[in-house]
Amino acid sequence: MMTDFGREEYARLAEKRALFITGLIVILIALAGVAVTIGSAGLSVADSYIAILAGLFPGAVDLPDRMVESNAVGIVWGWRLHRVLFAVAAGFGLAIAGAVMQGVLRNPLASPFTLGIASAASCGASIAIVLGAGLLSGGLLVIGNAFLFAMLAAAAIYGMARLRGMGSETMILAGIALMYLFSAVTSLLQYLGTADKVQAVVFWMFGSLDRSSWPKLGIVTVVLAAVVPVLLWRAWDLNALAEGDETAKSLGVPVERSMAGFMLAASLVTAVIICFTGTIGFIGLVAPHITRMVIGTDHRALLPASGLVGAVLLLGADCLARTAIPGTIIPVGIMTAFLGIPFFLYLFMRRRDA
Amino acid sequence: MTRKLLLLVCCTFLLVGTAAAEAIPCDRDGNGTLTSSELAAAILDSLDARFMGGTVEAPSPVDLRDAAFIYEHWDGRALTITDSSGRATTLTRPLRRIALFNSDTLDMLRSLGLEPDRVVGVSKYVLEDPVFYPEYQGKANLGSIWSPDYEQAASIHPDAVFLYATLSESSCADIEKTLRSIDPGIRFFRFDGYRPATYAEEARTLGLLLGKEEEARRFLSFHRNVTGTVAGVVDAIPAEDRVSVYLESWHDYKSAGKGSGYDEKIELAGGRNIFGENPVEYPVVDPEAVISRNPDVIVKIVGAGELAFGGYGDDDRSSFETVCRTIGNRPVWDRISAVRDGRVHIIHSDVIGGPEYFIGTAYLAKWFYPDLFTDLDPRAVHQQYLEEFQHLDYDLDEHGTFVYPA
Amino acid sequence: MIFVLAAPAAAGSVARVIVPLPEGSGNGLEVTLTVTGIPVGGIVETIPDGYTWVGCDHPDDRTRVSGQNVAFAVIDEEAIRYRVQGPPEAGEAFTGTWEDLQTGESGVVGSDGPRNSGQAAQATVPSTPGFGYAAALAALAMICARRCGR
Repeated sequence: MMTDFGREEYARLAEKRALFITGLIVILIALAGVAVTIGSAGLSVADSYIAILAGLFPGAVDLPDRMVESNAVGIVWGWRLHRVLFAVAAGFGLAIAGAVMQGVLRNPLASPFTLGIASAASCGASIAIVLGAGLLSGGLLVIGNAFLFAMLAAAAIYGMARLRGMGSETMILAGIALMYLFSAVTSLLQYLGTADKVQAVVFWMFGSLDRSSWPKLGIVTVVLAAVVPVLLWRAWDLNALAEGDETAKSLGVPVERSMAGFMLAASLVTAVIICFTGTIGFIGLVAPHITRMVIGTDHRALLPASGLVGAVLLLGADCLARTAIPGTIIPVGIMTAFLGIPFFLYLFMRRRDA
Repeated sequence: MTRKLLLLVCCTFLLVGTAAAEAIPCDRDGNGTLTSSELAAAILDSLDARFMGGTVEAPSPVDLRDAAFIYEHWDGRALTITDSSGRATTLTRPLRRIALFNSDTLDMLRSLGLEPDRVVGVSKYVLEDPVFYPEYQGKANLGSIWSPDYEQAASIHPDAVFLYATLSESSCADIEKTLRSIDPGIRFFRFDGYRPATYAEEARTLGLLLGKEEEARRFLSFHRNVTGTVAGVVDAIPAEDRVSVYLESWHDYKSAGKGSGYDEKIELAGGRNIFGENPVEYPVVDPEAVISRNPDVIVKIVGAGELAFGGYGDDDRSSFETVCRTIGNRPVWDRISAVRDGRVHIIHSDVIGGPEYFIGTAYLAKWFYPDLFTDLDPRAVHQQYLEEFQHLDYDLDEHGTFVYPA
Repeated sequence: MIFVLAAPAAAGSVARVIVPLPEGSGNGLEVTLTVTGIPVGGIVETIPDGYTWVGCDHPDDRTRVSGQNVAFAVIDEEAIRYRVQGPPEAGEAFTGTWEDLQTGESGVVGSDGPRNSGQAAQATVPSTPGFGYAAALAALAMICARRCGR
């Protein structure tokens, strides 16, 4: 029953979406191109790119002396490149997870962190750092614990929701309860720990990309590659869920199963990212909002577009984090927290007008 | 064509370079031992080529210098060192470009007479303390263990990176993994430099590592002199006669429990920590518990948190006095023996924690048993440490506040 | 407050003493080099014109003669003696340089101390400014915000 007018509107909207997504991709590539040249080693822009080529095609590139001396290839391939790509992947994942959660919970202020997943990961990391106890051992101790606890929180929410009915209110309440529980345990551990361990916990909780590496990037990419297509395929169900449980049911969407599936997917993506980076906040909250303001709430476009916005935001924040104070790298989680301020101010202002 | 040739040459040098890095320099027969005749031949070749117009292929100055070092200090052989984390590393070259994330180890290396130009990178805490580390102010800033600057660390091309052995092990492991992936040629060493139990052993190992065995011997005899004097007297005191001590860190009522560093030092100084059985490492205790346990001596540590004054950069003793008085003024605390007898002492964390712990322990011992340690002068020990071993021109009579009362 | 780094002492030096040989051994001089504070090093002596090399008591594998120059490899020794043939007067014309291979110092034989105090290791390091308290405060503020916000 689409009138010509409606068709025009729709075409305009579709065009807008396409432009937005294309624009984001272009910005992302440009930003990545800049990000690879940033760093305290003082490599020139040309050197950074030559180093990338030299790493891709070993032996084919003739390295000038100054690059051998500054170990440009080692720095770019051993440190910068995977960090930049990790920022893209992490931003993408966190934003999509946030968009999914906001859709499922029908609450625009929902994020992976509102449900206590971040607090749980911090708790797991604290247990590993302060008590040295955990599932995996050695270098994987903290990572394993953070992931395990994050998934435990997701499972707990699911369990509590099953008990009381899978409504968005129950999930949010359960999430807040978990958040307080895990925060309390983390605080206790910080009290018991020695100064250096507390320092380590605090720095972990800031959220940073310092700990990225090629294998970790690989793991995150694999998880994203497995989960995101499924989410995109099922994005229509999210549209239905956003209208309300009754509406969704009448549209044939298995509400309970869908909600559980979406929550699991979003939690998994979040957990696998923050177990490596620590708790990076606000990307999952801000990116979907910005995207929604531009292209509306159709999740089929909202999800990928949020992902791209998230990637741009996180990569941009990381570039700022590395350059804001010369000689030091601010943890990127602090940068993204600062991002939240103008965003919420804007929301606040808009509220007034409406 | 020239490009390919150049590539081939570069690759060959790379390969040769890598191969050479594994062999002892100037070891002509490659048997892993540098004999005096091999070294002599290398020296003569070098002198010949440089001063006598000879056309022999001479070893590079770097190789020759390294060979001289290895002959003198390592008996002409590769050295295998076991660091404080139990890891063994074999070196065929001396360390010339050292990067340290651990400032305690830096102090220890300085005590062993390490030349400052062998250090190429230090942590940001060193750079923030020009009073105590004047000669390292121009070195690269590596950040800290929890927030390392990998690019700086890589760009200074260190041949060795020193990290903590028992502090923040996960952070140290992360640093090692990342730096190794940027530059696989870096060697990693884990030393603490602040733990009484491993201090002497570490100094000895570091002396061997850096070719400073003589200096290590001298430093350790100085260290043993102090710790031995204290231990000799303290070990003879039976448990029931030990002085009871309440130790408070810079946070009010935060004491030291079982297994903590401060508890260990109280023990070394012959005291009995009234909270020594507390399972929490740094528990916040109940003021009433202190009153009821009635310690003979109270030791308060300053230097961080709200009481971040004193130390090397601060000459003002009045803040120490204020702290002392405040403790005495706590409600009902005038009933405690320590307060009544005037045995409340303030000590700065610089001399009780870290590599100067033995100076702090000497102060504690003297406060606990003034009659038994009449000859012990911790301040003279401190002055000797600064002048003779840390090579600092710092007069304790004029500068710095570390203890109160004196 | 000035806190100056007191430089460690110990510098190497090589002294030369020339003694004419007794009449019976022909027209010649005996040169004694005394090495102080150089465990491993090298010395190159230049014998002036008019003199010829006769020999020395230094081991063969540590001595090399080439024209009017002779190189000695010094390994844990304190004295090197060598003999030359020639007129007994011009003792001042002998020149030489020494090198300490451990410290990199070098100098002239016969002067008191090192002329060149050794090259520093190639430590070309950019000096980065300290980042001050701003970041620390921001970090602390962040902790508080996080703790309160959660």
